[in-house]
Amino acid sequence: MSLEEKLKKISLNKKKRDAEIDWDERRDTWIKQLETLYSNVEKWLKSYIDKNYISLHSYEISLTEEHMGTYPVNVFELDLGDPLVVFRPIGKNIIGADGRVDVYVSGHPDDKKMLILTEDDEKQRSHWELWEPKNKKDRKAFNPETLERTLEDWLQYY
Amino acid sequence: MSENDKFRELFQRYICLKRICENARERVSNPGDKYAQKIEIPLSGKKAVNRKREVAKYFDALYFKIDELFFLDIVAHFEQIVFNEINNASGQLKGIVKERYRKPAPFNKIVASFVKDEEDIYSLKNVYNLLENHIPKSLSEQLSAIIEHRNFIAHGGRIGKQSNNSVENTVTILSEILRRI
Repeated sequence: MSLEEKLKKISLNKKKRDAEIDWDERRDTWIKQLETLYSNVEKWLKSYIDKNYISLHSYEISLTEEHMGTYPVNVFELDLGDPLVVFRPIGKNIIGADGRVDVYVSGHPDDKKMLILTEDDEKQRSHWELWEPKNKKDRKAFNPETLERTLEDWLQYY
Repeated sequence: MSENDKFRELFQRYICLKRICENARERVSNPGDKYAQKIEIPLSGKKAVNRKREVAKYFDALYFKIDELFFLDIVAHFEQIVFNEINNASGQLKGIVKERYRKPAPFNKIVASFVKDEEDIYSLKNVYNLLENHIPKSLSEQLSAIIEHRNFIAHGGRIGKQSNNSVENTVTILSEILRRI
């Protein structure tokens, strides 16, 4: 097979693969996954929200990704009185993952953590993991306990 | 200056920019300070609660942009070093084959053309192809991820994918590749 034939074959395979993915559906699923994440966080922190220790806010930003174009997503904020914890979506098309949201205390981006979404195609399920960017081996399931522990770590100097 | 020293210098500049931002943010957070006007941040007339969130939003976006610019800068620097090395290696190889591969061997007059140079290996993707299988798999995968991420930023998200590498990890990975080539 000549180089041109090989390149043509690779290009056709890629086009076929890309065509098989419904990118609009992938984008819509991602937006729903973000909303579910935010509503879970709200549920997990309900007792603090009810006591007015935490208030919730959000604002819209645009993400641009290959095949998915430019689309709006919400940045989610937890106002803890003085510190502001931000959940900022980074994208759906992430190498080795199915989505990423950065979580940090506003003004302290060096201490940020990553929420990494992994989808299980067979079981049609997805789950979020909390990653420490400076130590990729430090990965935990994202749940009420890990969220509380992270907030406690960040708030230790307040 | 060694490559690692240059990387360190770039990284120090990046940290310095972030610290400048932190100081600016502190001053802008104080409504009595006119610094926001001086550096043309559009915050005038915002109520205290809104102001806090507006300042946060503005500076978080700025930190994010600094990360992207630093990432482009460090990869551009890596590319510069790699292509200098390719030039050097290619020149030396051409010299060696010219000296060793002589008459009556076929193509001996044009033997130097058989050696690849920077016109053949003109992109980072080509560098990746060249190094793949010659450096540890994890490192070549990381390089591939860095190139994808660079393309993503450089093309405004139109092509490429984002990686999960922090700025610090990127510096470490690129330094390690330079050490091995």
